[in-house]
Amino acid sequence: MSDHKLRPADESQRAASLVALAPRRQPSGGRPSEDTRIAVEIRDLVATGDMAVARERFSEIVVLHQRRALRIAYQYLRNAADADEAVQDALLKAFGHIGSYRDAWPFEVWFTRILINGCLDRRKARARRERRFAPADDAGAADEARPTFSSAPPLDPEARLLARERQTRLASAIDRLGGRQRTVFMLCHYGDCTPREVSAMTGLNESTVRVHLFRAARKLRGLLGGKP
Amino acid sequence: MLGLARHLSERRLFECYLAERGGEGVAPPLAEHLADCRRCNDAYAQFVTFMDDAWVTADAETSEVFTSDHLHLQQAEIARRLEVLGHGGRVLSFPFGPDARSSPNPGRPAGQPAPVVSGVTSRWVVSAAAAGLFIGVAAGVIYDQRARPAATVDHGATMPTPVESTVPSRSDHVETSLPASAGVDPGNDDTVFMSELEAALNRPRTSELRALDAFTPHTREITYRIR
Repeated sequence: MSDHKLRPADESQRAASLVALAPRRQPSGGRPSEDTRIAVEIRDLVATGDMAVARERFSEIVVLHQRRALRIAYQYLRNAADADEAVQDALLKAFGHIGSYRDAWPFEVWFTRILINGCLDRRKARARRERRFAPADDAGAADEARPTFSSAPPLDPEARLLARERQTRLASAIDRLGGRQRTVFMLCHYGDCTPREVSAMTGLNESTVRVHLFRAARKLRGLLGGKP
Repeated sequence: MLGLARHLSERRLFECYLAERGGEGVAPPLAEHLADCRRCNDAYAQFVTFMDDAWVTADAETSEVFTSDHLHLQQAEIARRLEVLGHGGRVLSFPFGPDARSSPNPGRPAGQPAPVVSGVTSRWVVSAAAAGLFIGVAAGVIYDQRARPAATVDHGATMPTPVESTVPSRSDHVETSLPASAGVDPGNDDTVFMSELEAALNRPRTSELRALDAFTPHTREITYRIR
C-alpha cells in the first residue's frame, strides 16, 4: 500500500468520470431555498396549531435533507446506528423548535448546526464510554453495522475491497484532523456548505473557517500521499 | 498571463476551488492564469480531483450503508415519532398533596368534587386530638396518685381483714395479692384468700347474680346426668 492517493490524479480518468464530482452550487439569485420556504410555512402552521399539516409538510424537509444529513453524521460518527439516531433526533429537534427558527439564514444552516451539535455530543459520550470500558474494535463499528442496513447486491469483490480500503484510509485520515479542522471540513465538504454558512453555524470568523479548511485539505493530502 | 506573473500558490488554488464549488465562479484574473499556465492548471486539476474524490468516496460509502430501503424506513420512523412528539406522559398527582384538590383523581366519579379540607381545619383537629390526649394522660396520673397512697397506708399499718372492707377496690385487690407472693406464710394466705372469697360473695351485686346462677345448669350436674 505505497500509493496512498485516493485515486490517481489523471486528467483522462477525471474526464472519464465526470459524473463522480462533488456537487456545485447554483446561484440562487437571492431567492430563499425550497427547504427554507417550507420551514417558514411549517413555523406558521405550528403557530396556528395546525400540527397535522405541519407534520405532513415536514416530511418534505425530511426527504430533502435526509441523505445529506446521514452523510455528515456517518462520516462524523463512523457508526451506522449512531448516525441514524443522530439524524432522527436532529430532525425531531428541528421540528420541535421550529418556532425559534428565523429565516435570516437558510433552514439548511440551522438544521446542520443542530445535527453537528448532536454528533459532537455523541462523540463525547462515546469517548467517555471508551474510557470506562474496553474500546471498540479497530476495524470500527461502521464495518460491523454495514450488514444491518445494507441490502445492496454485492459488487465485484476486488472493486468492493478497494473501495472499502479507500473509505477506511480516508476515514482514518479525517479522524486524525484536529477538532475544529474536522468540523469545518465535514461541514464544508460533506455538508456542502459555504465558508460563510459554516461561519454562521460554528460562530467562527469566515476567514478562520477558510484557514481551517485549507489546513485540513492540505493535511489530508499529506496523510493520503498527495502534496503536503 | 496578464494579471499574474508568478504561479499560483496552494492557498490560491484552494480559494479557486471554494469559489467554483460555491457557485461564485473563479475570479477573472485567476481563471485567466489557470487557462494560460499549464503548471498551475495541472496543480489545480490535481487538487480538485483529490477533493472531489474524497467527497465521492464518502458519498458512496454512505449510499452503501444507508440504502433506499433504509431511507424509507427512517422516514416512517421519523413520522411515527413526530406523531407522539406533542403527547407527553400523564403525570399522576400525589393523592394528599396540595394539588390533589385541583387535579383529577382517577378513583373519583366524574363531576364529583374533591373533599375540601382546609389547612386551618386540619390544624385545629390535630391540636384538639393532642390536647385531649394530654388531658387524658394527666387525669389518669392524678387519679392513680390519689388512689395509691390510701392503699399503701392501709396495707402498711395492719393487715386488714377483708371482712372489714365490705367493698374492696380494685387497687386493694392488687395490693393484697402482692404480699402473698412475697413470702407470707401459707396458712395465713389461705385465710386471706377465703375471706376475700367470702367478701366477694357477700357483695350486693354478687348476691343478685347468685339468683341468676341458680337457674343456670352447671357443667358438673350435666356430666353427672349423662353418666
